[in-house]
Parts: sequence; C-alpha cells; structure tokens
Amino acid sequence: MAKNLILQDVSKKFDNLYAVNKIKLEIKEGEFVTLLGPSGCGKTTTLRMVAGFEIPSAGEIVYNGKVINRLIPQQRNFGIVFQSYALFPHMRVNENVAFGLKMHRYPKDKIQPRVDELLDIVGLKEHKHKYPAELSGGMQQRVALARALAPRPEVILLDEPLSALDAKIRVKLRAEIKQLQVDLGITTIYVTHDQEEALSISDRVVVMNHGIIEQIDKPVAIYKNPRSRYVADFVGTSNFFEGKLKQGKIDGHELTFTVANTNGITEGNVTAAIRPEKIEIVNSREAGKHKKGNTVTGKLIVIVFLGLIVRLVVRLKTQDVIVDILEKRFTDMKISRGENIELYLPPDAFIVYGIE
Amino acid sequence: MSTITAENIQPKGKKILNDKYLIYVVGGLIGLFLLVFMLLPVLNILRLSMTAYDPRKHEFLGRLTLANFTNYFSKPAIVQSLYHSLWIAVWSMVITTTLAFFFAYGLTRTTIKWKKALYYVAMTPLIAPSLLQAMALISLFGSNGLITAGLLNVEWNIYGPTGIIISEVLYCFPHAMVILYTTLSAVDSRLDEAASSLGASEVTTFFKITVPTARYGIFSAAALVFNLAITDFGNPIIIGRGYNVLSTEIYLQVIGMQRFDLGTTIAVVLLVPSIIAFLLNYYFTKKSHSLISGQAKPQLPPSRPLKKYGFTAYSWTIAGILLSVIGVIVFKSFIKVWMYNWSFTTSHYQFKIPGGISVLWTSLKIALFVGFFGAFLTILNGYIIEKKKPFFAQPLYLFSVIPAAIPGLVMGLGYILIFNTRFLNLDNILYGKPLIIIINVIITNFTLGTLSSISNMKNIDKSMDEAATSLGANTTRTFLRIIFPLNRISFMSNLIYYFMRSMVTISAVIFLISPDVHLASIAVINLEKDGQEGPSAAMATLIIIIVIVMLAIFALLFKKRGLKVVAESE
Repeated sequence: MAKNLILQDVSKKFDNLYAVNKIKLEIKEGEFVTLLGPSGCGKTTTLRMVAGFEIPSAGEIVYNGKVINRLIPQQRNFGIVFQSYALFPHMRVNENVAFGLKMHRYPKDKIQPRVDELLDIVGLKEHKHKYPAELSGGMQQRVALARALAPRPEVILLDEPLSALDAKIRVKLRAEIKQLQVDLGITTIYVTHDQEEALSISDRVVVMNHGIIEQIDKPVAIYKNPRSRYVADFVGTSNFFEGKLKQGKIDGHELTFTVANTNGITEGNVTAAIRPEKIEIVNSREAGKHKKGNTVTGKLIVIVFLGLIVRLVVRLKTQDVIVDILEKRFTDMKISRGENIELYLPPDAFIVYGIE
Repeated sequence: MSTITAENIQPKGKKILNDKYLIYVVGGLIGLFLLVFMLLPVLNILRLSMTAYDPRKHEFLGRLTLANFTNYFSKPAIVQSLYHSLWIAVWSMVITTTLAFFFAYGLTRTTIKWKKALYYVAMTPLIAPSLLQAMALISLFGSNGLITAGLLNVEWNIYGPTGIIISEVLYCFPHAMVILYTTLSAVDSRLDEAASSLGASEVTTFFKITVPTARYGIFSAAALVFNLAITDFGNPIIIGRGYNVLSTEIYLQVIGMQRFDLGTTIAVVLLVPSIIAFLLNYYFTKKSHSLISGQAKPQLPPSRPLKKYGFTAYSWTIAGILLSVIGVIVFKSFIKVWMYNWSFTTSHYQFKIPGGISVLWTSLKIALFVGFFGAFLTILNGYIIEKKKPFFAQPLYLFSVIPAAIPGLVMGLGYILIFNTRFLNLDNILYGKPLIIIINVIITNFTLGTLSSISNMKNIDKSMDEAATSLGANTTRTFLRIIFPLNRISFMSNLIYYFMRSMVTISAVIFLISPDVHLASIAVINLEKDGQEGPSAAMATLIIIIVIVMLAIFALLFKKRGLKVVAESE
C-alpha cells in the first residue's frame, strides 16, 4: 500500500481564530504538493501540523493508514527545511548534516559515508569543514536540504525555503530541488507565497485563503481554470469586469459584452475575469478583422517592457485594464503612450464568477 | 473524500509526555529553589517584624503585633538612620549619575583617545569588596590620613556622611556608567547631527537632544545607584563612624545586641525604598530598550579640540581617582605602619586571623562554584522562560526578577532566621556551611543573570529548537547540544559576573559566616574594624589579584573556545 498522507477535516484554532478550518487533502506517495497563499492563509500552520509542531484542534492527519495527530516530531521521520534554514551555527557543515543521523543512532561507521553522499548530491563536498556563516545563502539552503534528507525521511516539508534568496539563485535552486525530489521520489510538501514558484515546481498546487482551501489542481489547471475570483486574482494576473449577467451578456460599467461560458450562472451580478494575454489590440490598419462587440477604447497610460512581452496599462472610463502582448507585435504596431487604443475581449476568454 | 478508517496510534512510549514534563519538573525545581531561598526568607522577615519579642531572652514569642514598628519609630536614634540612608542615597545618586553620564558621553560621543582603557578602568570598582573605597579614603583623608594629617596637617577629616557619599559614588560609578554607555551608544547619534545641521549649537544640542533622548537610561541608572547606595553595608560601616544608616543599624542590632526584633523591623524599613528603586530601575530599563534603534552607527566626526581636550582631562581625572583607590590600598599593604614607619614589609601578608590565608581559597572555591552553577542555572532558566514557555513561565519570570529588589543584607538575615531550624536537618546541612553562602550569592544575583540569558535566548532563531527536534533530538539533547553551545558567550559572562560578585560581596554573606566558614571579603572588613589596616589592605589586595588572574584565565579559555563564535556573527 502506498504511503499516502491524508488530512481529514483538519482544523487549528488559536484562541478563537481558525488558522486552518476543516481542510481536506490527500497527498500520494512521491507527490510534490505546494501550499500556496498569502501570509496568514494557514499554509504554514498546516505544514507545522504535519511536522508535529502543532497538534490539530480537530480532524485527523493520517499517514500510511495511521492517525499521527499526537506523534511528536521525533517519531514522524519527516524532514523539515526551515525558512531561516536554522543551521546550527556552532557546527560545521558536515556536523550539521550528521546531527540527525546521530540523533537517530545511526551506526558510527555509517554516518560519515551518508554525510558525504548527501553533500555530494547538493554539491557542497568541498565545503564540509566550513561553518554555516562562511557560506552564501544559497549554499546554506543546500546544507539545510542535505541535513533534512540525511536520516532518510519519508516525507520532506519545506517552509518557504527560498524566500531569503536573490531572484536568480531562487530560480536555479528551485529547479535543483525539483530534480532532487524526482530522483529520490520523496513525498514533498512545499509552502510558498510565490505563485510562480508554486506553478513551476509542483505536481499539484493547493491554493489557500483564510484557513480554507480554495482550489487543489495541477498548475496548468490552476492557471487556466481558477475556480474562484480569489484564485484568479492571486495566481497570475487577471482583469475583472463587474456587471449584470442576462442571457449570456454582461452589462457592465464600461461596456456590455458577451461571454461564451457563464459557469452555470443564468443571471445576476457577476464578475468576469480575463487574463492580460488574452486581450487583443485592434489595430486600425487591420480593421474589419474582428467581429463587432466586445470592444472598448481606452487611453494607453503605462508601458512596461518585460523582455519577451510588453505589459500595457489602458485607462478606461472607470478602471484600468492590463494587456500583455508580444514585444515584437508591440514594436510593429508603433503605438505610444497617451494614444487611444481599441481592445478586443474574446468571449471565450472570460471566466464568470457569481457575486454573493 | 470518504471518511478514513485508520488505526489511531498513540505515541510510542511516553516520550512526548517525558519531554513536556521534563520542562515542568526542571522549571518547577527552579521555581521551588527561588521560593524556598528567596521568597520564604523575606516573608519570614516580614512575619518576624510583626511578632512580639522578648529582648532579655532574645526570643520571638509568636504573638502578632505592631509593637516592633512603634518601638522602632519611637527611638529617634534609630529612626535617624532612615533619614541618613535617604540622604546618602539621594546625594550618591545625583553625583554618580552626573559624573557617569559625562564619562559615558565622552566615550560614546567624542573622539577622545584610549576609550577602551578608560572603559576598563571605570570597571575596576567591581573587582574589589565594597569597602575598598572607604579604606582608601580613610588612608588619605582620615584623622591619620596621608593628605589631611600628613600633607595639609588639618583637623578636618572625612568620616561621616561626606565619606560615605564619596565612597558610594566611587563604588557605584561603574554600575551607572555601563547603563549610560549602553544608552548613549544605542541612541541614534544622527539625531545630534540633524539638530546641528538645523543650526543648533553644541550646548543646545546637548540639552535639547542628547539628554532627553537618553533620559530613560539616565533615570534607570539613577534608580540603580540609589538602590546600591541605600543597601550598601561595607563602606558605611567603615567610614560612617557613628553616622548610622539602615544597613549598619541592622547589623549592629542583630550582631551587637541580639535584637532580632529591631533587626527585622529595620530590614522591612530598608526593603521599602530599595524595592521602589528597583521597580523604577526595571521600568526605565524597559522603556530605554524600546527606544534603541538597530540602525548602523555613523562614524563620529572629529570633536573640536576644546571638547576633545576637555573630555580627555575629565575622563582621566575620574580614571585616575578610581585607579588610585586601588593603588593606595596595594601600596599600603606593603607599608610597615601607615604614616609612622614607611619602610617596606610583607609581614601584613601573614594573616593572624581564624583560617589564615586559607580564607582566600575558601572564597575562591565558593566563587568558582557560584560562577559555574549560577551561570548554568540562569541559562537553563532563561531557556525555559523564553523558549519553552511552560504555563508557569510568567510567575517563574517574576520570581527570577525579584531578587534584585532584595538587599543582600536582608536576604542574609532572612537566611539565618529561617534555616537555623531542625526541620529536615537544615541546621546541620545549611546553617554555617559553605552551601548556604553559595545559594545566597546565586539567589541575590539571580536577576541579572536570568535577564541577560533571556535576552540572549531571544536572539536565537526559534526554528533552531524545532530543527533539532525534527532531526530526532529530545529536549535534553537539544539543550545540551544546540542551545547551551549557542549560549557560550552568555554563559561566560554570567560566570564572570557571578564569580566577581561572590569574591567581593560583603552584605549578602556577613550574617552567614561561621566558625567553620571564613571568607576573604569578610576578613577584610573584620581586620579593618579591628584597626589592623595593614593586613586588611593586604587581604583586599589579594582578592583583587585573584579576581584579575581569574578574569584573565576566563578570557583565555573564552578566546580559545570562542574562535568559532567569531565566524558566527550574524
């Protein structure tokens, strides 16, 4: 039987506040799952409950068919990488990595080979006699990873492990972590508030907000079919148009537009979300190409060059709209700041959410 | 998701309980230790001060009464000691704080040279018993003083309030200086720069910016000096000459006349101002710490010549006075008969006192014991309060902070009144034994040790504990392998602090020595009171030498083992 980790209606109450409220989650053996959300959404509390640092107020945490709610961390054999790394500053790199092995009473002659093996994997063999303070942030991160992996944990928990690093190293290390996870086939729970990191590294992403799970899905699904307005807003960038839905048309402040899919809603107040890259610019020289309707005109107020794409901010009557277009197309169109441009919002690009 | 049917496994063995209860047990033991050796003796004094007493049989009668207090306030000679104490404490406070402030200002805000040396010289009063100042003043300004009788040949001498105040100023100087130094180096000196860039003169800046921003540090230092001066025993008993203060009055009533009723009553009277001063000190210290900015300190611009020379002259004058206090005593210990026969001798170093030279080794042994045990206990205490936070962390903290409010003399009196009991055979185990002295010194200095340990614990990453736990270490191993090594610096400084206090303290242990246990610092005071000024100077010199040598040894040990720490500076 596969060693799955199941959170069954798990809650954590601090005083009178639910940090985590009845979440359900099943993680398969070998899976890489990321808990994503803003600070205070309950993702770290969830991780700490899995680690054994917090005891759930209600619900059960089941691992390998056993309820482990009240097991102390030492008895779980889960490896943890902390946001601050928590490397022991008075121990050398190899002593740090050997610590867990000693605590688990590994045979003396097996400790050093295991330490070397881990340091080899993370590429720090030549730094084994250094103290943590003598290493760069990225190296310290790798030591923390090696230390957590050394006692052969069955699950590894990573609490915002890259948040203290520079953007460049972050991208490099997250690829390394993913590769290592695939090689070892180890069940992994990863906590982050960085949606790009979550999408790029995970098998599945759990989007959390105010202690509840908003959506659990593969990264592509999270991005393409955000199940709530919250997810659409938090993951990636979205433009939102509010209005009254009636017969497949939304009557908004700016414009009345058609949507292809009303998400099961027949009528009432709704929000329609559209990604910036789905919006098209109607080039006057290419006029007639687009169907009538679903267009709106606004003034181009900001141009941000992002490399491959250019992000434009277009001011409509009551709101700004973000539009991403390829840099090449932007250059070809020869538009400049202050100009009025016409936007086309494809009906099938909208996702509609009801408003309570 | 369907409901899961899973085997509900309980923790293996009782490990989870063990770890939690281990903290309860250890924390509970520390709490019990403080309860028995701090709170009970003091409460007992309160009780006895309100118990009827038979002065002829020297016995408490067990009846509740306020007669002791009416008795106290009806004896003008004794009540006077309260006014004397307040007078001494207030003047010592004003003078010490002022002098120390300018000294600390010179060290932190001007570009005078030799700052490190000046700082260490300012600390020298800490390495000697708190009667050295009085001994030196008497040698120079007494009725037979080198300056008064020798050089100037005047009738005036320094005995009485003037002598006590000057002694207290010299004794309390380092305590106030440390606080003001910390405050002035922590307050952002760019405030001063901002003021001068807005056109304020140096003097205006000083009074409108520097002093107000350092005010909590100043108040905190003043309260501490007040507390030290009002509770000091060594200096007033030597230089007071009939000018009795509360602490000397307690001693005279108890030792001289066996009047435990008056002793406990005066002890309670002394507790009031000392507790108030302590609370003020505590309050202002907290306030002061909240004002400290963690920002990088800009380089000081070179001070103008007048300022520089002024502060150089001022600082070295103070330093010179502090050094000459020690110098006079060391010199005197080699002089055959002060003022009469100036020939060199080492005969004063052959002590004709009970225990002889061995009192020094007793003191050293006890001080080392106090140092290691006290430092370990305060680190452990700080760990439990700050990191483990059991449900009784708050009361334990409160218990740990109270000792600083209790004068050592009162605590010592409390000990002899409560531990001379047959109960649990305590009169045999504790009474008159080194153990009671060790416990007393640990308790009376418990506050500072615990507070410094707590602030050190605060700087240790919270995940450090959890990292060790997740890697399989239990609480004991986490403490021994992670927490304790990370607190080496704190342990060392607590050890040194405890060691020094134990070597030089008088008031805490004056009631606790016995025919079995003699201490060096008490030998100094007894020799001095007997008029054996040569031997007392010699004993004081030996104490100073031992403290300096041990400090050097600690520093070496610390350097060797502390090499790694340098790399850790995060």
